[in-house]
Order: sequence, then C-alpha cells, then structure tokens
Amino acid sequence: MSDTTQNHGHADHDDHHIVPLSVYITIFLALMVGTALTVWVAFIDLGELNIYLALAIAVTKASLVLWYFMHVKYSSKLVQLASVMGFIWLGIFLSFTFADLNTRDWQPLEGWAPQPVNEYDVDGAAAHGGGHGEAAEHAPESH
Amino acid sequence: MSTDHSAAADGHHDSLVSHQFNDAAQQKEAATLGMWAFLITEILFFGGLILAYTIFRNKFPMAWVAGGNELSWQWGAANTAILIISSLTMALAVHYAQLSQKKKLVWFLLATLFFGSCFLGVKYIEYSEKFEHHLVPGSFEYHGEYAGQVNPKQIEMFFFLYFAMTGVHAAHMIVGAGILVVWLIPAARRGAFSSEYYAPIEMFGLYWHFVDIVWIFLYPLLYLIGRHLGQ
Repeated sequence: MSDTTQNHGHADHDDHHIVPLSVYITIFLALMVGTALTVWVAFIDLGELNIYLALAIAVTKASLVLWYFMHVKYSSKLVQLASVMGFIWLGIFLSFTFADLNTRDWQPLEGWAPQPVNEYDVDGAAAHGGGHGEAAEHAPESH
Repeated sequence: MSTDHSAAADGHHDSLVSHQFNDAAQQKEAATLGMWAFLITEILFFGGLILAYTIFRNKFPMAWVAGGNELSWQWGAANTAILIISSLTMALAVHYAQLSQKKKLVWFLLATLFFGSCFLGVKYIEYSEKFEHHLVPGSFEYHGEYAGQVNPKQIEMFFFLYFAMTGVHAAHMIVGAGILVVWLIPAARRGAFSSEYYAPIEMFGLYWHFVDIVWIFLYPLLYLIGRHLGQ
C-alpha cells in the first residue's frame, strides 16, 4: 500500500516537470549526429560488424527519443516499466524465433539432404554438397 | 477531492478532470499508461514485420544487399533528418502546452504537420521511382548490379517487405497528420489546452515520437544494410 502512495506521489511531483529547452536541443543534435554516423559507417566494410553497429546506433537513438522526448525519464516507475516491457517482449519474440531457426540444421537425420531453394542459391544449399542436383541426388545414396 | 467550492460539483471548473479520477495527476497517469499499452501493441505490430525481414535476410543475404542498394540512401537520410526535426517540433509543442503559451503551441503543431508532410512527400517521390523502375512486387524486374547472380524472386521479397514496412509506417504518419489537422490544431487555436490540461498534446507526442523510433530502425535496416558491399 505504501508503494502505491509513493508511486502516486512520484507521478504527482513529476507531472509538473518542465524540461529545459536546452535538453531538447541537445537530444535533437545527438540524434542528427547519430544519423550522420550511421550513414558514414554503413559505407565502411566491417563485415559482420556492420549490422551490429547499425543496430547499436539505432538503439541508442531510439533510447534518447524514448527517455527525453517521450518523457519516460520524468514519468512514474509504473510508466517506465510499461514503456520497457514492449521492447522486452519484442526481444523474446525475436530471440526465441531465432533460437529455433538457427538450430534446425544441427543434426541431419539419416537420408537428410539440404533441399536446393533454387538455382541461384549458391551460398545456401550448394555450400553443403557442391552442386544442387548432385547434393539432392547423392546424399541419400551415401547412407 | 475538490470539496472546496460547489462550482466543481457542477462540472464547470473541474470539467477537465473526468469524474472517475481523483485529480488531474491521476487522470494524466492513467492516460499515459493507456497510451503506452497501445504503443506496446504497436511495438509488436512493427516487430512482426521486423521479424519477417530478419528471417528472410538470413535466408537471402545477397538479395537483401541487392534490394537495399536499389533504394536511395540520400532520400532516406533526408527523411530521417526531417522526421527527427518533426520530433523536436513536437517535443517543443508539448513544452509550450505545459507553459500555456498558446501561440507557440499552435506554431509548433503546424511545424510538426509541415515536416510530417515533407516526409510523406519524399516517400511519394521514392515510391514513384520504384514504380518507374518496376521494383514493385507483382510486376517486378531487376536489372541492377547483381543481375544474374541473385534470384530476382528473392529481391522481390525484399521489396515486398520494403513496401509493407514503409507503407505501414507512412500510414501511421498520415493518421498522425490527420489527427493534427482535424483535432489538435483547431483545438489548440480555440485555446483548449493549457498547463492545466494538455494530455491530448502529450499523448499525441508519444505517438509521434514512437513513429519516429520505428523509422530510426527502418532506415538502416532497409537502406544501409548492404552499402559496404556495393559499388
């Protein structure tokens, strides 16, 4: 019960919180710099790192918008929790799907052969067997 | 409870606070929490598309490079900047609503509408280019630098997701612009908002900033993902 009162008191206080203009301007400039940065690094070949760097910058920018423009910083604990929960559920959604997808090829069953997706799919099916038609034909025979 | 004068009971003075709430602070807390409940559904709504995008990118990595490099990163960067500016003007609109400065509130709402419209204008130019070059699912043709190396059907899948993601995002922008035009700007001009009551402005701000956050992810994912391999 005391928790509720505390939370309410917190919200009551911050309801009248006026964020100084300088905060908005600073966040705006940071977002612009972040945009320039994400374009700049996109053209540098960092291999696998490119996507992670792009996402790291995007997450940073999104957090700034969330925390300052959307006033989550100045909101009650309850609103802060709610605002983070959506992203946590999204994380579960994405990570569980990929935990499944990325582990499907671990244990080929007897007679299992990668099915060629199509003639262009050089890095997929062909990488396992050499040629598409061959992979599909020979793999079952080898068992 | 406001028991200090009878005017409150008539609903005149306290008409800004609905009768189920104790006070303005509680009402605002409820509105904010409700808005976030809606935004959580929006996160998962766009999350489904981002999941589809990621699965197919895993499956067809080169098609994602080929498709992404057909988009104009310059237009995308311009639109990212435009949207960030509109987020700033929206934040300032909330700021001046909190300070009861009606003129500046109206001005910044109009600025937000203007930059939102600029974003949609750029989107229109981009979509037109894609239609001209037959980079549209249904009548799809690919003659880019990866022609013959990448299955055009897979690149078509990229463009299907491109149109789905940016289309749904643009639909949110159009809804936002509509809310500004038919509700918030006229109401602000009438003087409906003040430091006592500005929840609609603040809640709309949450929506607008959220749409900005979606674009912050869409821009690198769609436009920049294969740039380091291109040219």
